[in-house]
Amino acid sequence: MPDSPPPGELFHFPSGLPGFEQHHDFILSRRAGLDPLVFLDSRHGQGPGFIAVPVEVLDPHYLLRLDEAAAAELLLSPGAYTAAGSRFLAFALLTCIPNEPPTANLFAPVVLNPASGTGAQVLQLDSGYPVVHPVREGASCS
Amino acid sequence: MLVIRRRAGEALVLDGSIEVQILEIAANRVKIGIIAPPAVPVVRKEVVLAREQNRAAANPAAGSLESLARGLREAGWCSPGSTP
Repeated sequence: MPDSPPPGELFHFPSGLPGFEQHHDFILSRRAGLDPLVFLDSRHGQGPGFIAVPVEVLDPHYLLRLDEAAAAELLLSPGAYTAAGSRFLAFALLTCIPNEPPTANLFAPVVLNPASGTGAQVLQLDSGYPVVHPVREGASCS
Repeated sequence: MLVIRRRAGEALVLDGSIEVQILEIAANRVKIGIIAPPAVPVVRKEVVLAREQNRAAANPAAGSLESLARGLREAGWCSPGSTP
């Protein structure tokens, strides 16, 4: 995968995100001192915003599978990919509730293709990756 | 939970208007066909779970994320370009 996402880069999600299908444009950004966290915010002010982390931070051996439909949306080739050497970015969305341990969604990573400016949330069917994956003990949201 | 045994080629009907057909049975998978009115959404349960999790994750309460970021860095992540 590329070393780092450019700050404030716009990505178009043709299908939106599950639960937010009407939102198609998101801005990926980073904030000083908060690496490896990234922020994915709807281009429109009233839309959803998410905190995310590269999947390889949580699982260095994470295997991402792109089926034909997802690959077509992302303008990539279908197949199975590890983080090393891939042309896209893959992030797990974090669920961050005050006073509760944060969790990461490894089942449905957000995949971004910087070359095409497109994104999709790609469900990893039959992968065994959980929707709720505990983030490292000691890490907290507040 | 209502449990019904069906063979390939058989079907069941929900609410008088939704037909679920068992098309094919393999070792660990079942191929299902669904005939439903256009107004009835049909999605995989995994999509519903992803939708619910996205809603829980969206727009987190404002708070310090430094502890979270620090915890992840301590797990071995290094800034791009830095040496592990």
